[in-house]
Amino acid sequence: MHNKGKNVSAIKMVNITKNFGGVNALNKVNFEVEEGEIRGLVGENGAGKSTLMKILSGVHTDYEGDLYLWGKKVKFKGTSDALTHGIGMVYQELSIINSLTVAENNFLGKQLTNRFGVIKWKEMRKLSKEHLKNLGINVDVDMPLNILPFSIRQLVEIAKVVFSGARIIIMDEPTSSLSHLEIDQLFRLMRTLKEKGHTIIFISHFIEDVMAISDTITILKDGELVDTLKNEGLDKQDVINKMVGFTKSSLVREADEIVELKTPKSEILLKVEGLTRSGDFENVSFGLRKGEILGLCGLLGSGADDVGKAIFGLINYEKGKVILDGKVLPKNRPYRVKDFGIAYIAEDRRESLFHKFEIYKNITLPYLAKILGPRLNWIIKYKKENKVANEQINNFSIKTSGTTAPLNSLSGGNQQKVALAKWLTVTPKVVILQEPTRGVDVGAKAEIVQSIKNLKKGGLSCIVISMEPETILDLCDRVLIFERGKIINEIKDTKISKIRMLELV
Amino acid sequence: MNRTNRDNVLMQGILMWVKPRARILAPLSTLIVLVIYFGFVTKSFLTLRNLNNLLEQSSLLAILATGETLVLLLGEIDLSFANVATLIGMIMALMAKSQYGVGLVIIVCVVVALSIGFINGYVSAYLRVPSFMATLAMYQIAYGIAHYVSKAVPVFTVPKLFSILGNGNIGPIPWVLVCAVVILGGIHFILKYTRFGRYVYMTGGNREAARVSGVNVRLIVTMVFVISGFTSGFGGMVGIGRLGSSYDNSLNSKMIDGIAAVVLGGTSLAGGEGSILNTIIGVLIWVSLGIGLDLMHISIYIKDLVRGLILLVALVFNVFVQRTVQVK
Repeated sequence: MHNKGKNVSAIKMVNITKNFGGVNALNKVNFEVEEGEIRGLVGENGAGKSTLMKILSGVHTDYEGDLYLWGKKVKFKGTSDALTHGIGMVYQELSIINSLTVAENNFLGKQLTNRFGVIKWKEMRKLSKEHLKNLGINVDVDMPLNILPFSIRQLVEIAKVVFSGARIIIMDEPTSSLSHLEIDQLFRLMRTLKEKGHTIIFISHFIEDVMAISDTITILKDGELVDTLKNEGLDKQDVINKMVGFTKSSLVREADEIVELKTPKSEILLKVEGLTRSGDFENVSFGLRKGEILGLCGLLGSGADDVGKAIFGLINYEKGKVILDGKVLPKNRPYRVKDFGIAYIAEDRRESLFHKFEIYKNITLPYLAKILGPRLNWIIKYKKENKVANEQINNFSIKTSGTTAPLNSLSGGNQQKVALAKWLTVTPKVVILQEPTRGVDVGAKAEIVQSIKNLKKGGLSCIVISMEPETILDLCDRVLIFERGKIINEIKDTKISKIRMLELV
Repeated sequence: MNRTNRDNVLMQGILMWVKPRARILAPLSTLIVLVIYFGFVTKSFLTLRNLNNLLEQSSLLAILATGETLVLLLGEIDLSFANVATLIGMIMALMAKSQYGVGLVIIVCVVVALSIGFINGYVSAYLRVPSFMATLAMYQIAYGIAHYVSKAVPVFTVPKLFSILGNGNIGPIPWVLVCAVVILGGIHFILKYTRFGRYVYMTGGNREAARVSGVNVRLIVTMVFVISGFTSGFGGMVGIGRLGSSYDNSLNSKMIDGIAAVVLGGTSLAGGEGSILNTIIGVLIWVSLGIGLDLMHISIYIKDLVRGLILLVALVFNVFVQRTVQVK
């Protein structure tokens, strides 16, 4: 079909540069993949993996550099244009529709119809069945997807992308929420696709998974291509070394800089006992000391973030309990957990802030009753609110024209500071921080890290949940490593480098 | 400073003033245009007698639509409020017919109204049935009960108190206007000056964020439906008092009127934006339209169609004005 001689690469990206605003996401990247190859793509968060793949799959159409497919220069107008050129992407969040059956999903958006526009169900079912069988996927095509496990739905999605004519399939973190058996199943499909001449690009944080299946591995770092290695006799350590490398920014820790972790000797304030939520985390137990910053570190799908949500009551759990100061915290009721003295700073600003509302309303909301009190705490008192908001704006050096400016007039970093400030108008006992430095610029990052350290000085205990070892090492006294819903390692009272930390994760 | 530059500065100043007020100014300008238009094309629109009539009609609709304002602020909808008003009015009339004292009548009516509101709220907030469906069921249930208890026979007894509240005057001021001022004023106070009101706006603006910020979102939703039950019940009692008789569908047509009025006033269907002031303007627009078209002697058969078309145009105009001002 696309055979234009052996020496033409399936994909050739030349001098790709991409800027977002002032931030350089990709810098003159040259990326080449042969037909029928499984290529692993690794790098830290923000290394540029997703950006590069989004250019290849037509999501980003505005970039510098050239893209060649099978030797022919192309420039996509969008994702559907990329798909007609044979490039399909499978995201972590599947795009198939759960209430429809396997067959319906397979033909989604391009149902077979006769000349009157009537859908030809029988033929669609038959074709889907053949197609899935060809790929070695064993599933009843009449099943609605929502009764199938995630791993099967993922296979169906991949099959659908192939069915749409994709010759090059990009998979973004496909193994992050799969068990070992399910991963084997996925790898079988990848090998089948390879045998049929498809090219696969496999983006993942799981170095072992990448090394288990890829023919070659490309390492990106800070928007630059570090190296492409043949996956023969490769050492995991080497790959991690190249991934972490030396960073350009002075605010960021060097890879081999040693950090000393030291657990304070104070009493235990918060106890988590046997917390279980099936599918997300299992039998999670740990204690948090007074004035300690505890890190929960794990990759996407490790369950660390869900544990934080469960403690605050945002999601339910089946077994186990959380005890603060001898009192068991209520399940599933954030508005009550809050009054026990737990604050929760969410990762997603869209989910936790009010963009059209004034800054002061954002800041005062969590402890509104206390701010308006003690007397007549049900009456709004603008002066009191404004005073508290102004204090927080100063404390966190939030750059704004005033307390009544709408939140969306602030930059991302300053919004993140509001997300922090709104939970510290009254002193809580425990602060849970979900990815506190995600998506903010380096300057704001340093300020946020400093604010969290100040909390600790004030005697507060914190739980920092993050996928980024850097953030964890910058902040934490002790670290719990999560993988697939369980605590697999505890790092305490030791000296550790960032590079070692990455290995553990 | 040259002329164009000065014009620009002036324009910017106007925009600065208009922008945060667009949600009020757009419907207000619609109202003003309508009143001026009807003043010109009819002889009697701007007479004292007609304006009095306009205020009386608006007062009743405003009472009924007050609860809906809160419900829409949350991003929910209450389709049942007019039928609930009819039902409460029917209970009041039947009890009066059976010679119960007015005190007991009020207690029973208020308790039933609050309970209905609670059921609406509980079913949508805790059992997670979308409020559109939950209140659609209540719409049918309320009508069903009124139909059943009255056996479709009208009741002509009304407690004297509510007859006065519906039709009487205190000096030159109609009692129904006083009722409206009290209810609207009370809800306005709750929305603007209480913690509960703040929670309503924040929850309507971003429900997930409110939950993550430790607001008891489901309680807020339930309480708003309880308030909506109360205002529709009270509106029903005053409304039936005004009509002097109770049918099983006396006030049911007020559903469209009420929702149209609130939305015309500029309260967003998506929640988080709007106010009682918006609803007052919206009610005045909608009632002016009805009365103005009557006074123009338009055929009664085409009146509803014209009102619907004008509603559509006014809504498009509102959305357009708000968007152009806000985009800048």
